[in-house]
Amino acid sequence: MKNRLEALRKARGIKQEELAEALEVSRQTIGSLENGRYNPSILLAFKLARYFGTTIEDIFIYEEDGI
Amino acid sequence: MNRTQKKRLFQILLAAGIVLLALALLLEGLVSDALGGMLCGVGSGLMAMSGSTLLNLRHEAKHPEMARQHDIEQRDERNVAIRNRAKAVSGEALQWSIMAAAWLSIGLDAPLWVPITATCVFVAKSVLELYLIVRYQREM
Repeated sequence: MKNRLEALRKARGIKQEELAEALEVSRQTIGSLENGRYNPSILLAFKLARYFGTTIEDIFIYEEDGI
Repeated sequence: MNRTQKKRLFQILLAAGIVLLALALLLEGLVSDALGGMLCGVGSGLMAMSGSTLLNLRHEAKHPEMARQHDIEQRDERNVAIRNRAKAVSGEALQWSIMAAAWLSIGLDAPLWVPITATCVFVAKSVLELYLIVRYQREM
């Protein structure tokens, strides 16, 4: 699943470590999320959305296969 | 379990390990070699495990920021998912290795109890897996 996490983070001028610290996850998790290698749980998705003051749909882009 | 409870538990386990090891030394010659070896093995294992955990806890108490980071790493959902997947795959590999060992033991003319035990372990793991699938399906 694609996402705009890296763009949002960079727009705020924060490091992966700082975001990880704020969300109480590891820095590697933030890196994997940004690379699209890992899809977060709904709880982490909500935490991210609240942190950036936006909605989950604004961060994560869901694309069904073949559409 | 908080850190104090964890520390208390491992102090008790360390003491139990020391007692078992002391018993193994004191009872040498009075009990069978098998029992002595068992006391020695379990005692040493408990001492090593508890000792290392207590040292870790002490280190974390001195460096709270490191302890916090360690907690985050432990609870991190991606790490948890990775650990669970690794456990599942290794469990599956072990299960089929046991079945392979059972077949190998038949080929090597091993005593009958060897393939029977291996098959029982295989079946027990499969039954447990099925039970857990049904249980989790009800829970989720």
